[in-house]
Amino acid sequence: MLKRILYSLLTLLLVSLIIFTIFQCIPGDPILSKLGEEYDPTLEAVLREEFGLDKPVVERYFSWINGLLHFDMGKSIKYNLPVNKLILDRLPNTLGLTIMSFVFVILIGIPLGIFIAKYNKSNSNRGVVFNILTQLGIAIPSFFFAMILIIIFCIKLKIFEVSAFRPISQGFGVFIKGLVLPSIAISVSAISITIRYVRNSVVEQLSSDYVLSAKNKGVKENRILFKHVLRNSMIPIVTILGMLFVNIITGSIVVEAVFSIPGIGSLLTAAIKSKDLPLTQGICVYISFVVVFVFLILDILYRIIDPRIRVKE
Amino acid sequence: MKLGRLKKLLCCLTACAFLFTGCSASDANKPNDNNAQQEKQDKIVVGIPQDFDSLDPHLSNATGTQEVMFNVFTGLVSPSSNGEIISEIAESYTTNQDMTTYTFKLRKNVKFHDGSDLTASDVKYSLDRVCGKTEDQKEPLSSAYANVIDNVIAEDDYTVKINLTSTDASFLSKMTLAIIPENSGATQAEKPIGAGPYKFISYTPGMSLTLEKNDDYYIEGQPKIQNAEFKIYSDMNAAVFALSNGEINYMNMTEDYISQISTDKFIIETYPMNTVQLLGLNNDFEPFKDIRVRQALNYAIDKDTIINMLSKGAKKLGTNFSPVMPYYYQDGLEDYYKYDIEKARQLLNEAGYSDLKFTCKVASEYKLNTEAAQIIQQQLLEVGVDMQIETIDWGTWLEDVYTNRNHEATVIGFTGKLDPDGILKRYVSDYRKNFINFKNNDYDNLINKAAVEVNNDKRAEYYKQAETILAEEASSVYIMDPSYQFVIDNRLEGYVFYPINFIDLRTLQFK
Repeated sequence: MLKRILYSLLTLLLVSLIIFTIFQCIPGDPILSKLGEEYDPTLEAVLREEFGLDKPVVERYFSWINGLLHFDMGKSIKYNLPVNKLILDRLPNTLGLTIMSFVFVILIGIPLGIFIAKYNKSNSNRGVVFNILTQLGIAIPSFFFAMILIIIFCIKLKIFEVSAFRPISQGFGVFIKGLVLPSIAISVSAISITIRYVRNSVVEQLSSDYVLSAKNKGVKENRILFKHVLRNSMIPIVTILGMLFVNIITGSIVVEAVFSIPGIGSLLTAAIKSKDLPLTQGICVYISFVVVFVFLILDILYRIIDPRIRVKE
Repeated sequence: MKLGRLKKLLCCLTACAFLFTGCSASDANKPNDNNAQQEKQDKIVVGIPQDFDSLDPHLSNATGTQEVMFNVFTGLVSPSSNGEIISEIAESYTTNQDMTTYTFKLRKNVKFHDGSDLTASDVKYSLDRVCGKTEDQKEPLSSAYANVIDNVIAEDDYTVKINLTSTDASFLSKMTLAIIPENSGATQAEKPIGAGPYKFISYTPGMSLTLEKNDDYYIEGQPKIQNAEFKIYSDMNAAVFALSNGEINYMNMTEDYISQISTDKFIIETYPMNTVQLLGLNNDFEPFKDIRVRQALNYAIDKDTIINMLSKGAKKLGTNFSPVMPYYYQDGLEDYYKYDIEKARQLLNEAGYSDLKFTCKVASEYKLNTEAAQIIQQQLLEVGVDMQIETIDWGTWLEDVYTNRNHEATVIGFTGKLDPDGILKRYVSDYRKNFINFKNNDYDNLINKAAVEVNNDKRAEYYKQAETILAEEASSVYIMDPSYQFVIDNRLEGYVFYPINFIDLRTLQFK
């Protein structure tokens, strides 16, 4: 486990170094971007000094790493506020969106996958329909689906407001309400992928020898399915769910803009646009941290689901 | 039976999902019920496309921030709707003969949002702060102020005397600077306090800024609407949807988005913007050193077509000045080079550039400019000129084109200002921001003379002559002052337009 944590830290360091280097190579100046065409040289100098941009690149990188070790990610050039504060302010919004999307994936994707597997083992006509539907779900871009949802549920049916998002400070109910449509928009492709994986995984297990022998012994079908098949199907499903969780986080970048949600995704877009290096780096470190953390959780889940992994180790 | 259990499970899960969605949506129809309607009357929601660069008025530089924050802060003077400078916090002012000393008499009934009285010491602090002469700000924040203001003296509570280093005819327009309470500089970025019609309530970066009516605003009866919210829409499609759904009362938009808005609920208004969109030609680029080539491009570009395609109702320009400021505007220059392909070809042949090729750098963020560049590209093809378009990001444009002048041509739109000096000084030979490398001694003399001219009529005359030189010399191709188009809730009335970016909420009210 210690080795894994060390690898994770190394990954974070590499990510920061790559982003830092890329930002040094691409043209454009963050202070000029901030000030626009009417920039004043005096104010420019004040800001350059304030953000340490008058110092050499290497010095800036190490000072940033040093800050990071003290949980200080510096100050955003665009917003003139601490990066930590900006990320923490928006974290509940993106986390809310991610968790809710993930709940949809689990609540809809897994049961539907099992259902389809159970009643549609062979590639019958119904199977083709499911295939087309799930393929469509995977192929449709989340921002496009978001717009369709807005047109149907906001403009035509008037069930939701377009900019329905409210921060959690205004109440949990309104917060959740604002996340319903964006979560559906993000999760539709993940749900489709989950259905396919669950279906394939369960079908594969259902045709294995132990299922046949259990059937021959007269064990009830549902008992075989929920007691044995599902457990054995879960390993690939958990892996794919981990991947999908990361997909959902990155998918929020586009969907947050469509629904005007001030989350990490829209913050990253704004940071990149304005070449706000401290903020971009901060968010990338945060996302890398989440990804590393999710895979750590997956490792733990594997051990719970399949005791053989524990034994092997 | 077996089937039944699994079906039940699925039904339960699906029902849960829908119930969850349904419950949370139960009160989503708010805008339609009576209470919400009443609430709407007391609140205006303005959609804005960009986030704020800083809430501190002395650190903020973005036009998009200033057009909103004019509602929170006030200066000694302010712009009027016809571009004049009128008194605001200052009741009156006097100057000495050579206009190097201004004495402002302040109004006595002006209060800051924290309840304190606005006095001369606050004015002194605010001006000293931008000049870098206060305890909390030792470096100047703006050379435009630091180079001009010698010292500021608070003669008594309501009299401020400002001594200038030399005559500066544009000084008065600089006094629109936000006045903030003494020693409040450190907290302005997080909790801005001004003396404007609205006071700051909250700001969620990337989402919205909330304001509330300042009951102590010195103009009685203003503002009229109790609450204001500026919502940030980084995605214009989302803004169009929100407008269609009645969630925004006001937003400015470009032609292609505005055409999607239903006119049942909104009025679409069009005003000149006091902006200059031009095809900037680097006068130091070899082919453009020849005036005939520059003139040829002027003849080859059909501005009317560009206007019709991109910004209906825009003002055609012939120089770097918009007719929206008529006092300083030289009439008739817009058709100095009437569209004439033959003449363009002839001039190019004479100059020996019949197969001219050049690259035009355009900032990708500004759709109006990238689209104008595409139309220009097609128009120039007709005279055998091959203009390549290179799209770059805004930060790169500022660094590469604007600062380092590393370009052959560019399409850009410059926001207008209250004073012509800031608009026309751009092309003075040794000026730092003369990005087209225009050099003309007569032009320089006129602009420099105008900057210290105390007689306004004479000053306007100098500017008109300078504009004529810009046109005669075909310094660039000046295209149009694009239309400022916005959609406004048809229940709102009292909108006032300004020749600078200012969303003035003071006079707006629901019918």
